[in-house]
Amino acid sequence: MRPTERAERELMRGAGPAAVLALLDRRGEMYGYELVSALSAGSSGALDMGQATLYPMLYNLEAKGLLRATWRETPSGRRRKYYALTPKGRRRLDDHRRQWKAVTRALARLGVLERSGA
Amino acid sequence: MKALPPPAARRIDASLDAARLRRREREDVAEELAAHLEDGLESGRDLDSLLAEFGEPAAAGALIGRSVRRRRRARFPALRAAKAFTLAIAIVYVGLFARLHARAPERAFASPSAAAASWTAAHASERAAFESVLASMYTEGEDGRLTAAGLRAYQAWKGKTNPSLWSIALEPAYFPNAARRGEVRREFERFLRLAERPGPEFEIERGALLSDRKRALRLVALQIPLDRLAAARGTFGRAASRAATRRTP
Repeated sequence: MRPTERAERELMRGAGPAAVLALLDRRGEMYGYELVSALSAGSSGALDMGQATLYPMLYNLEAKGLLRATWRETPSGRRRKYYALTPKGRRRLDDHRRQWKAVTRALARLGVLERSGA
Repeated sequence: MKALPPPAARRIDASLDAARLRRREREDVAEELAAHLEDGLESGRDLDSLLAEFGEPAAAGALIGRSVRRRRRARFPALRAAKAFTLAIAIVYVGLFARLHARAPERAFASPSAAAASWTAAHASERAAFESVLASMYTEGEDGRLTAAGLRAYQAWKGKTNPSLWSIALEPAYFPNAARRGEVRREFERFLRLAERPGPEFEIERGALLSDRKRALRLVALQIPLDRLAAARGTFGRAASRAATRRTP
C-alpha cells in the first residue's frame, strides 16, 4: 500500500473512529479541522477524510457517549466546537487498541503486512 | 458563516437542505461546517480543494442528517420513551376505536318479548333449582317443616361445613319460627316477580329481608335463591344496558 493511498471505505469505518479517539486521548481537546489535519498528517494521508465523513463520525461517537462537544470562542472571536473523550470513550479506545493489536498480529502472521517486494 | 465566500456558503446550504434537520440543529451544524472551512482558509488552503473534500452535497447531507438524528435520540432518551409510549397508546386507541365502530350495532335482545322469554327461561331454571333446595331442607308438602339435615345443607351452602358448638347449641332456635314450605315458596315467587322488574324494588325488598334478622331466620331457605337472583339480575341488567346503548336511533 502506498503511504498516501487512502483507506478503503470499509477499512476507514473501523479505523477512523479508533484514530479519532486515539488523537483526542493524546491531545485532550480538538476541533474538526484540527482533527482532519492531524489524521492526515499522522497517517501519511491514509486516513484523509472530508467533512462528509468526519462530522457524521463525530456525531455518531457523540451519540454513543464516547465524545463530549463544547462550543468555545477563539482568540480571534470565532466560535469552534471542541471535542473531548468521555470516560466511556476512553474505555472504548482501550477496546479498540486490544482489537487492532489482535488484528495486526493476525495479518502479520498471514503475511498481509509484509512488503510485496521483500 | 457571513465571512465565507459565497460558493462555500452555498455548498453548506445545499448539504443541509439534503440533511433535513430541525432549525436549531441546522444552525449548529452550519456553524461548525463554516468554522471548518474558515479554519482551512486560515491555514492557507484554497477554497476549491476544501470544497472538493466536502463531497457531494446530497450524499454529505444524508450522512450528516442521519448522524444528527441519531445524536438527537441519544440526547433525549426520556423524550424517545415518551414518544414510544404515546405511539403505543395511539395504536391501542385506534384499534379499540376501529373495533367498536367496525361492527354493526346489535341488540342483546331482539325485542321486549324476546327479553321476556329469556326471563321466563331463567324463571324456570330458578324454580327448578329452588325446588331442589326446598326438597333438601323441608319435609314433603306445602306444610312441610324445616329439617336438621336441611339446616346442615344451608350451612354447607354458606360455607360452614364445621359449625361451632355455639351455632349447634343455637340450632333449635331456628325450628319453632321457621316458615313452612308453602310460605317460603310463595315468598320466592314474589321475589321472582320483583326480580323481573327493572326498578330497584327487588334490591329494596331483599335488603329489607336480610336486615330483618327474625324474618331472615324464618325464611332462611330464601337466602339461597335470592343471592342467585341478585346475581342473575346483575347479568340481565348489564345485558339490557348494553342493548340500550347499542340501539340505533
